Amino acid sequence: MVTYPDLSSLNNQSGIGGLLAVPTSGYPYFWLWIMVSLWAIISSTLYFKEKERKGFGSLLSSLAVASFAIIILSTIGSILEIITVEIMIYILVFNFLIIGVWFFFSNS
Amino acid sequence: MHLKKLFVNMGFLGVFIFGIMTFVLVTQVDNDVTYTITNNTFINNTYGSLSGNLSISEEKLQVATGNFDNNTQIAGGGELDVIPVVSQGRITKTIIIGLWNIYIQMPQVIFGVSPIVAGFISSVLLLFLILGIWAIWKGVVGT
Repeated sequence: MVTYPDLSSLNNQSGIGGLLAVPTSGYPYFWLWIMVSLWAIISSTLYFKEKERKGFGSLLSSLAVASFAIIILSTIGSILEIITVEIMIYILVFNFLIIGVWFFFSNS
Repeated sequence: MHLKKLFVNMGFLGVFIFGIMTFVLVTQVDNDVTYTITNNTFINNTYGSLSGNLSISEEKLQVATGNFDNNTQIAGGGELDVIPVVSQGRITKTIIIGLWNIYIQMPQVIFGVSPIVAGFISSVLLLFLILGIWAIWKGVVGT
């Protein structure tokens, strides 16, 4: 059973982790949306930068690389206890799907 | 997709997913996270299945190599000798299907993908695997 922190749990010892965890008390999926947004930003940045540099880009590779980055960020988030186990499972499975599709359908 | 590419992709994908899960788990355990990902029963089972499948693969392929070495070549008139590749073909199928079942189980449980859709995709994969292995046995295509 996961208990979500609120303002009452903030004290001198709670640190940056406690402060970052506050939004999850009102909406448990807060950090999930942040991660989804970061995933979209990283993947689109990689894709359009590659397109600009080479003239063409591989969207699937960009999505997969962004997935690796999000898994690492989520792991850091879980250490700070702002990403709960349930959200971590969603993030892992979604990113595994993207990585799997990239493995099977990339031309190289 | 070529059978060899499919086999290599499935193997590497299994190792990749296992590696990512291990990375997340080790990082969480080293930093004393209260609720690690293995607290979830589904992830715990998948992690265990992946570990088992990948370690059993090596043992099975060692046995297959032994079978290949020990097989006595019989030159029968008008016969196609397929015995040396039967064992390897069966193990290739087992590894691909084993890893695929673990992989397809994730979206099926977490995102609620219909078992009919997953079953259909698995059936197509199985059919192509059987046809591919049969074609190798018969010498129609290479590996």
